[in-house]
Order: sequence, then C-alpha cells, then structure tokens
Amino acid sequence: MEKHDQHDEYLEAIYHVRERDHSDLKSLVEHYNDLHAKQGSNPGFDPGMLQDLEEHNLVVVANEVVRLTDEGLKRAEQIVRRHRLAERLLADVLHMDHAESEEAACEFEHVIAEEIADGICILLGHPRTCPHGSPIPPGACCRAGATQSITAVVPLTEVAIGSTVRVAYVNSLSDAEQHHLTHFDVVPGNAIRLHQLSPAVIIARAERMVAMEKAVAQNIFVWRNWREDTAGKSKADGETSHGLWKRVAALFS
Amino acid sequence: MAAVTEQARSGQASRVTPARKIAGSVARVAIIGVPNCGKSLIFNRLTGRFASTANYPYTTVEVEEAKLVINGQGVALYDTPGITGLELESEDEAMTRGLLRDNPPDVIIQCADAGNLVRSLILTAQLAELQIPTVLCLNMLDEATGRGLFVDQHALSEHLGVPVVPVCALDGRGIKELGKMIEHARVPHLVLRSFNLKHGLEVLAPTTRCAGCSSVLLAEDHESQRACHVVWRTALKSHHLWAQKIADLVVKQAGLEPRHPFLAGLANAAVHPVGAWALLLLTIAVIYLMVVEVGAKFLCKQADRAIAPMVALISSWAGHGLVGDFLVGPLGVLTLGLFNALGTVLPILATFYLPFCVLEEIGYFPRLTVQFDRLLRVVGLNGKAVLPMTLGFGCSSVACLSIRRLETSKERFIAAFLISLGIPCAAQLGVVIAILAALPLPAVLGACLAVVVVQVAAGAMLGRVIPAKQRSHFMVELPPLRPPHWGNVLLRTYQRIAEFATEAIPLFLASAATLFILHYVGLLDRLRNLLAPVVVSSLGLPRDYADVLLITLARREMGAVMLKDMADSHRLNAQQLFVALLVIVLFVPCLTTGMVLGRVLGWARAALVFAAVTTIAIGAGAVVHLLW
Repeated sequence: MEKHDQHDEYLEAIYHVRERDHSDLKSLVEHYNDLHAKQGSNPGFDPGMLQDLEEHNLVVVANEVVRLTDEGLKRAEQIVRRHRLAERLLADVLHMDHAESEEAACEFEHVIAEEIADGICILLGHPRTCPHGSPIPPGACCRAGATQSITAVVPLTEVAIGSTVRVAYVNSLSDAEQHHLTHFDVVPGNAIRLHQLSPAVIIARAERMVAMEKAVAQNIFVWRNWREDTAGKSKADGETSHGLWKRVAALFS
Repeated sequence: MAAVTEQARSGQASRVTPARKIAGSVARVAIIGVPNCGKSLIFNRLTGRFASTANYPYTTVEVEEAKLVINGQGVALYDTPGITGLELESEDEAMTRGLLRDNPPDVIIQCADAGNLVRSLILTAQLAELQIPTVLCLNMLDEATGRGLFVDQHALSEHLGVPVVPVCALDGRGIKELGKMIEHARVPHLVLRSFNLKHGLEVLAPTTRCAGCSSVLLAEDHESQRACHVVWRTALKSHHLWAQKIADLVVKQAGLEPRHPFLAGLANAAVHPVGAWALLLLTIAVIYLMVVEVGAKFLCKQADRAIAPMVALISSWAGHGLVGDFLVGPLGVLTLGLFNALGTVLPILATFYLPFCVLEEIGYFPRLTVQFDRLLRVVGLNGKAVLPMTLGFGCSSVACLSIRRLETSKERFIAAFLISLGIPCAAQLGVVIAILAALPLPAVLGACLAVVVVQVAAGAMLGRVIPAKQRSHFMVELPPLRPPHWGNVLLRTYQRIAEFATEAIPLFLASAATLFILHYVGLLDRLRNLLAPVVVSSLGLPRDYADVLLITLARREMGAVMLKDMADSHRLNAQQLFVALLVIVLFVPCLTTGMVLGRVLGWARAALVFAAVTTIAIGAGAVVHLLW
C-alpha cells in the first residue's frame, strides 16, 4: 500500500472514532485493528504513522489524545464520503453481495477522484446515509443542490403518478421508518407503483397499498426511467444495472 | 436460492429439536403475528370466544388469555397485539414483546397472511432466534388463492422447520388441524446471518451480555439498542432478503386477478382528494338516516309502545308512595335506568353499530387516515391518530386503549384529550343525533361546527404548548377493501350491544338509584343549588340540568337520554337545547374511560384532562349562551 493510501486508512479510522465522540489513542488502536481484522488484512497499528500524519499537519497528538487538524478533517471527510457513497452504489443500487461490496468500497475510497465521487453523489440524488445508516459527509455538490441531466435516481415524489418504478435506495430518517418500509417491502430492487401524491402519498406493491406523508416518500429514491419489462417480475432488471456499470466503468477509464 | 436450500438442509441436520414436552402441566400457547393478519379471528375460532376483530391493523390492544382443552391437553391460549418485529417501538408492540421476553410461551402459533408472506417471514426469522417450538398458521389462503397466489405449504414447512397449517379463519376451515398441530410444534431453523451481522454480534456481545440477535432486540435498554443500530439494520436487511428468497421459492403466482371491480373503485375513491370527502359525507348521511329514521323514529316508538303498559302496570301495583316513586317516578330506577336503556339507547345503538361494523369489516377506516393526515397536523397529530379517534365514536374507553399505538407521548396525550373532549361515544352520539333531528338544519350544522371549532382550538393549542422530543412519521398500510362477511358484521354488532347490556345497564340502574337516594335525602337539591350559578346563570338552563351533568359523569349516554326527555317534553327552547347539547357532548367521558385514561396516561395527567375538559365544556356553553 502506498503511503498516501496508508494515511487515508488512518485518517478514516480516526474519523470513525471521532464520530463516536472519542479521541483517545486506545479507542483508535482498537478500532483500527478491528477494522483491518474485518477486512482480512492485518498490518497492525503503527504508531509511527501517527507521527507521519502529524508531520504532514493532518493530526495533533497530545497526552494520548488524537485530534484531526482542519486539513486532516477535510481529507478524512472526503475519504469517508467516498467509501460510503461507494457502499450505497454497490450494495443498494448494484445489488452486490454485502461482504463483496464492503471489500470493493474499501478499494474505491482510494481510487475515486473527488469529481467522480460528486458524480456518483449526483447520480444517486445526494444520498445522506450509507446502507448501514451512517451519515455520508456532504460534498460541494450536495451543498450546491446540484442536479444534472445525468441524475438517474430521483425521490419518489418526482415521478409521474401511475408509473411503476424500482427503488434504488432509501434515505432513512430513523430506524422505525426503515423498519416499516422494509416491512412494506419497500427495499432496493423492488418495484412500486405511485398511486397518488395528495392528500397523502400512496404507493402500491403487488396488491398492497401503503399511505405515507410526503416527507417519508421524499426519502425513497427510485430509478427515473425504469419500465417493468418482465410482467410480474419485480426484481432487479439487468439492463439498468448493466448500463450503470458501464457508466461507472467509463468514469474510471 | 441454492444458499437457502443448503442452509435449510444443514439447519435440519444440526438442529432437529423435538417439540418441548408439553404434556402434564398447562401449556402456554401464544398467537403471534404481524398486524392485521387475523390473530384474533384464529383466537376466537380456537376458543369459541369473541375477541373483537376488524379489518384494520392493531384492533387488539391487550394480551387476552383463554383456558381451553385441546386433545386432552390443558392449554392457556394468548391472543396478542400485532408486532412487526422485535425491536423497540410503540407501547402497543411492547406488550407482546414483554410477553415473549418475561414470560416466554411454551409454543408459538405464528399467524401469517398468505397474501403477504414476506412481511410475516421477516417476523418468523426474528422469532426463530427465540428458539421456541412454533406452528405456522397460514391464514387468508383463500383470499390469496382468489388473487392467483399459490403457496407450497410443504416446501415452506421444510424451509422453516416447523409445521405449516393452512387456515381460513373467516369460516373456520383448518382450525381443527391447527389445534391438533400444537403438540407437533417444532423449534424453527435459525436464519443464516451474514458475516457482518455475526461480527457485529461478537463485538456487541460483551456490552449487551446476550448472544442472540433477538435478545438484543428484545432488550428494553436504550443504550444497547443504540449500540445495535448498525447490527440491527444489517439484521433487518438479511432477514428481509431471506424472507424474500423463501417467498420466491414457495409462492407461485398464476396471473394476478383483479379484485372486485366495485370494491377496487371504492378503495380508490376513498383516498381521492375529492372523492374521499364525498364518500365521507355519504357515509355520515347514511348513519344519520339509519339512526334517526330507523332507530329513533321507528324502533324507539315500538319499544315505547311495549314499555308504556309495563310502566302503567307497575305504577298501579306500586301506588304513588315511596316504592312507586323509587321504581317508576320521574327519577325512578326503572324509568330512568332500565327503560331508558332498553327503550332509547338500545335501539339507537343497534342502528348505529350496524353500519359502523360494516365499515369496520370492509376496511374503510384506515383510508380516513389519508384524508385526515394533513388536517390532524394542525392539532399536533398525524393520520395515524384517525383510527383511535374513529374508534372513539364506537366507545371512548376502547379508543383510549388504542391510543397506545401512537408513537410519542405528546400524540398520546393530545389524542386522549380530544377523544375525551369532543368525540361522543356511539350510545351518546346516537341519542344526540336523535335530539338533533328535532332541531332545524342550521342549528344541527351549527352544533357540529361548534364542537369542531372547540376541538381544533384546543388541539392546536396543545400541539403548540406541549414540547415534542421527536416527530413521528405517518405511514399506514391500507388493507384491501373486502366484501363484508355478514355473519361477522351481525356477530360484532350483537357483541357490542350485548356488551352494552351487561356493562352499562347495571351502571344505569346504580346511578339511577344513587340519584333517587340523593333526591330522597335532599342532597340532590343542595347539589342543584350548588351548581345553579353555573347551570342557571352561566348557561341559562333549568336547575335540574345539573342532574344531567351528574349522570353524564357515570354514563355519557344516560345524560343524553335525560336531556332527550327534557327536550321531548318541550321544556327547553332551541337556544337552551343547543347549549345543553354542546355542553354534554364536550363534557367529560364516562367513569370507565376515566379509568382507562388513568392507566394509559397516568393519574395526574388524566385528572388534568378531566379538569380541562370540564372547564372547556362549560366555557363553550357559556360563550354560546352569551352570544346567541
């Protein structure tokens, strides 16, 4: 692994620990080793790297407490953002297997350029959380509310009434909501039909109907142009995924 | 898919656990299932009892128990409120989770809706981790078949590792087999969890001191719940994935048949921005006509005709002394208590409940949530509160029990307050409608408007004043409209009337006797004098309206009947009648509801509701008296 990538790994770990309101060295070491054990690689925590990061003015270490500098925080946010965006794309949108997508996301975070990350973010309609529910740090594109013609995934409230669309992902607000939506079968890959928008949003799946307020429906993101080609079959349709794959591949080439 | 079968096979090899021996002592059997899958109907069929059932989620609000003998084995059967999963959520679900955690049953009958198997299977996956012998009861199979869905029960049984019994709870097919299967219940296979979940649990195990995912989910401890956040999401995802795979394997779809075209049209109309209001008005008009034309004008007259000779007979037998007065005098126990109940309330109640039960049966009420969601936001609630409030038009105490399914304590308080304030229960509403029929139309509309204005004003104020910790989101499943099963409708109507007869008539008699005794010892006069400043000066009503208020404390409809008597004898002018009606509609709910409120909200809050409601009721009456 290159030094730059190693920096990223450490910054990512510090950011995770920081998200849990910790900053002590012990938690960091534990988390770092844990993270790498999970990925199957085990280089072990190297205190020398912290020094290295300090020299690059990315962290400040004092009294067993590790803090990110402004520059370090900015870079860490970008790494985490890339990782979590990649997770969203791979797990929810492209239906990659969980373990597989985790591995791929770890690779993605080092190779995606900032503009490409923004591209994925716009493509997915600025998701706010990763599939595990952790927040995705917003990028410049989110703050600008950028939309482009490339946006393929839109909130459910923006498709035409009566159309059947496929769920790309759910930007969930709470566990309870996530739970209800899953119970109503509103999960990535499933087809739903928008029945009406007012006075409350109603969606139909098979013969079941679920009513919800607009604020909830706005968090259900769907593929804009997706037709149910195989009647009765609501599972992922290869065409779209394939097309997207090509597009993603094009972004990298 | 291969993974699933493989897992089922390996699961079978390693985990074939015979059903726990349940012979000897009484076996505790709990019916568990997602909301609105027919648990109560199954309970009723197994026990021959009538727990209340309806076509909307969360009809059952408390765990019910019945002792019975199945195949020579003593069984304590529990009917439970629906749960969607084992995590912390509404208090309503907490009750079922509490049963599973603190007092786990020997056998679980999991009731599943064959037409929506995935939803039930997610719960199956979570229940499996409790490792309690289970029978899966596949309900509403006929409805699913009617829609072209076929469920391979043998394959399902193989995948889950538990016996599967197809049942049609509506007409009772398969119930016998279900009873027989209880002793063949088996511990279900554990659902394979993804690597991440296993890892998450290993990490969490030391902090939460529990091994299984479901035990983590069952924990009431918020901290461990929060710690489980990530694990939980992954668990939900893998459970859903598993459920969908199993459903794909066992459910065959042979072309979706459209539902009954009329009902489908009606279902759409009921959520249409304009159609919904037309339908609601039509519904109210039908109920109004039923109550007034059939109930008040026809049935009550017939009942009066039957009762009048009895009164004459009794008074000629008892004379005009104390005994005669006690029995059939103006405040007599029989006239005020029994005959009012039988001659006025019962016929009106019957004509109100019949259409109400039809609406309940076809599944109309959940659709009101769509229509009222935005309006209820004005008073700090959302569409979910419609169901308890609609139930309030049936019986306030039942409604107050069902507010437990609202998510935040703010919503529960506001809903309880509004139900207590301005939603008359069926019996009172029926009598009030009968009184209103005598008033000109503008006055009727004015009265409705006045109640709505007071409700909205009070609700809006509460919505602003009470701080909210978190906002709950509106999300409700709309069950398909079903053609009414007339047997069920009649049974349910009968059941409610019988409930009234056994519960309310003794209270009617007791309160009539109390009033008579108060009158006899002269206390009633003192009470009337005490209340005179309010009743006579502020409200401009006759002194004995105080009796109506006192009686309303015991039973709402009994006060209404007394007022009807006052109106029928033309003792009140239109303005007085208007004020009198407004006050008793807004006035406090009956004692039973008071007890329920105390339990649900806590006694201090319940007392606050009572005090506030009384003040508002009298205040509103006084304002109308001043302005008219």
